[in-house]
Amino acid sequence: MEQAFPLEIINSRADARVLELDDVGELVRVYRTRVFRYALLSLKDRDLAETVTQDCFLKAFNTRNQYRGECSVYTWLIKIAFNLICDHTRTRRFQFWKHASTSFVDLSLLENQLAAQQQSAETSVLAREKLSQVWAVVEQLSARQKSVFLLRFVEEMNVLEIAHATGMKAGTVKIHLHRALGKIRAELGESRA
Amino acid sequence: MTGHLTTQQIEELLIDGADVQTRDHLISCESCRSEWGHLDEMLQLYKSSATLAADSVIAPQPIFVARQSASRGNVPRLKLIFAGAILVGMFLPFFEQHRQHERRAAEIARDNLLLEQVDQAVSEPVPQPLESLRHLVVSEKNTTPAPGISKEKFNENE
Repeated sequence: MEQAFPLEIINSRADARVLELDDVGELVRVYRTRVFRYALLSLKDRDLAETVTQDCFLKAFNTRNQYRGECSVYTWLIKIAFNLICDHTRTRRFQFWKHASTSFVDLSLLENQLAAQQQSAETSVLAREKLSQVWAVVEQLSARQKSVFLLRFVEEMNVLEIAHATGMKAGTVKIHLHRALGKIRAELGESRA
Repeated sequence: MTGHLTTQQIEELLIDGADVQTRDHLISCESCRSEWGHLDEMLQLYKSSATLAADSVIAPQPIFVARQSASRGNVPRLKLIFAGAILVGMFLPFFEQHRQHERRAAEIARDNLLLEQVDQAVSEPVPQPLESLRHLVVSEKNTTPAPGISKEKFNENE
């Protein structure tokens, strides 16, 4: 009898989230930017990222009855996006690698931001160089490592959320993140014995 | 904690947060704090640049509905129109043939009606005022008997 009350709360929360999924316009308005950003950074192709984003919301809306509320709506959307991205990188491997050879990010856009954060022009230039090194390392990561890295350090999801979204175990997610950070540290020359 | 944090511990700090012991060490150790801070700063910069880059290329308005209607609405509509045109093209000759048959049947019916009217008019008895003319025509035509019939017999028949 004591367990009935928490279960009711859980069910009502799940119902509220399912209702949230019913309003597809609101869903798109709230989460589109984040889903698109994740897709864009993973695929490096604007058109493909837009396709994935739209397919993601369409799939989320069509399968909203399967959503049980065991994770946040955002994690659920990222899970769908992750699977779509995996499908695209598998089927459009050629295009993916063709695009991967060039970076779509213009780091000069960040000059003002870097200049504001750094104390001198010299440190600003150094930071910019290191940042471009980080970008280069991230681009060289494997698809799974990159996805996990983006979800942790750009989307700021925690390890359990990433594990849920990607279908990996939490330990596997941590291993991917350690490897990614290890490569970045090695590139930046900051390894400690 | 006596020594410095290891690479693994610093990475763990960034990945999954820090336990109390590690946090205490970070506060007290300038070297470890600097190393962690530098890596954290680079990751923050990466996040800022990634966000900025993505936001700079993102479309100004959601095109979800428009694209959905374009991809799922127009194509079937065009297919339906195309299929309809083919069906019309296929059945048009049959329809035209059927219409010709109908037209011919109507003409035949009209002709039959006219013939019936003619028959009725022909079979009607001669009106009273013209009765005398009828006898006149008959008497003018048949004044002479046919060969082989005697004049008496002809007159009897008359």
